[in-house]
Amino acid sequence: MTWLIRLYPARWRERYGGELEQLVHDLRPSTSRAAIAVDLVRAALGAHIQQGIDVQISDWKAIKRGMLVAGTVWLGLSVEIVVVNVIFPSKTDDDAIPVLVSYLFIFAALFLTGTLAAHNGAGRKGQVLAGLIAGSIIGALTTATFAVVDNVWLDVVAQQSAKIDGLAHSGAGSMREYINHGLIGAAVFLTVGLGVLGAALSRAGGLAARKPLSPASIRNSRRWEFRGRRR
Amino acid sequence: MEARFAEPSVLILASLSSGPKHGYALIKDIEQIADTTLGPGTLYGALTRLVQHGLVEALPAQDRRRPYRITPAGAAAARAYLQHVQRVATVGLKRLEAYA
Repeated sequence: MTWLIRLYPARWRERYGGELEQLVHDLRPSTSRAAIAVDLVRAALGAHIQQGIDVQISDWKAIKRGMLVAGTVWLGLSVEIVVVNVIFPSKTDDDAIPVLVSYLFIFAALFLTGTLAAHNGAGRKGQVLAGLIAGSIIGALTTATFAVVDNVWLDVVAQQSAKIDGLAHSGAGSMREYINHGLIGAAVFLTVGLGVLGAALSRAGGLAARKPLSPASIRNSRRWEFRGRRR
Repeated sequence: MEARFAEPSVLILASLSSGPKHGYALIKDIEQIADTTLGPGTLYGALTRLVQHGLVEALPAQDRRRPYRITPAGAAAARAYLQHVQRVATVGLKRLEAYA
């Protein structure tokens, strides 16, 4: 009889399986075997459906949280881009450290996206999608920031030695044409590249956050919106 | 024909209002107060939802039997729901008297 408990989702079984098995054992002398079996099968099916709904809700929340992380990262990067290129511009090509720090910042944020998603009950799909979308948003918006900065403060940006050298070897007719042509390539590369990298890093973050389930962790990590019929 | 409408969550909250109980004790208590027998799967399906909503909390297990306790939020939700049902029942019964 208790083998029917194996029909429940593994996650549910891990938390409640032992208790349910004991309850079935306690009920057996006074309740018919068929009634218990029908009830267990029906409830196991319900648990699978409910788990699917839970994961969908958690996945969507993970994606929204990833978008929030992406927006925050983009704001930070935009400030850094304006400061380095406009407020304290350098004519020499010495921005290796700020660029490295920026990339590490992005990678950490994408990893964190997956960790947060896993902590809040998102499944593998939710973690990957959250990272993919967050990375793509960071790539697209950061390129847009570069487009604005480079075009609005073209006279300042055009003083950079890397840009002067690049223009000389590009065959472009003007600095604006050279910069904007480069930005199109960067938009595709950063959006797609950071999207793919985001998916991988977010999944890695999700795996790193995985830990054995306890009653308290389930209770605390899977806060639903109360959608009770009574309200 | 007698129909019973109370859903398992309400029955569990009502039962736990008199103190913590494990699964078997809940089923037996609900049989007494509502003349309804919940199946083990039905009981645990409802308990799972109540725990997730923070309306009920698990206490440390005794052997393999884990008692559950109603939370303040659970008590408030049950009270609000039962008062609502009571209002509806009062109006419904008055109208049914007039109908008869």
